[in-house]
Amino acid sequence: MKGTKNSREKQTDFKFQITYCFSNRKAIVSINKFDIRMKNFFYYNLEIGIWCSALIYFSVIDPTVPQLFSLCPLHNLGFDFCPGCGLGRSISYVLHGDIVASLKCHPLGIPAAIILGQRIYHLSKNIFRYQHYSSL
Amino acid sequence: MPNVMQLLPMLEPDEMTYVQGIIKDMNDSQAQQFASVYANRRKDTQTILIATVVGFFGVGGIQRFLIGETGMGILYLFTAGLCFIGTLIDLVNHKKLTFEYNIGIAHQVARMIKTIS
Repeated sequence: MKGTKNSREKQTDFKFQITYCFSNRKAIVSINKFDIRMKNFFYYNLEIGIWCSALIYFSVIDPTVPQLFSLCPLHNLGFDFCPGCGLGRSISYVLHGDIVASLKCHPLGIPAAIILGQRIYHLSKNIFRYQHYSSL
Repeated sequence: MPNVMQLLPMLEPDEMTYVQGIIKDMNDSQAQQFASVYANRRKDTQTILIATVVGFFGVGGIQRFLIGETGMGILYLFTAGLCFIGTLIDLVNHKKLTFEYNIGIAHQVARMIKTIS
């Protein structure tokens, strides 16, 4: 770049632009790193998030009222028989303390609640452990 | 320092980073021993993926038995993979499940080698 006589201001301006650009770039890079971290964090904690939200959902809903829609693909396809249907209501009954109704809905409700709790406990020990081992 | 790229080139990237952290304190013969034992005991990502896909057509929950979670496996087996939703979760999550199992095995093997030698 060719310097003119009263180019002092321009030069500083240019410098400012460079530093601005540079700092901006730095910011972008750091945002990208942060993005990757967050992505890994969500990826590595997907399972515990799903189990926890399922248990929270089952503890919030009222199991005596039939739900509006079912997530079960077999039920949505029109089959009457599905080995897993009723499990959600059963877990919900267990969390509300009604053991008999839970056993009537699905016999595996109590073990399912215990196993899910165990799995959540096991996963919660390493929530912040693996996100640094980037798969990118 | 032993290099995981030469000893175990078939690992997944994140697993490779983790195993490098484990074997960096070992000497060369120990690392060689670790590599031969670990390569036999680890599970491949593809195996878990195929076992998960079998859950859509036949018996669900084989992947959970393979990675040593018997309770979850039985739950998946008797409820058709939690109405196929659990199978779907495992399909998305199969790399992390394998990673979790493999680093457990890696720690076990490293402890074994430290006590033997």
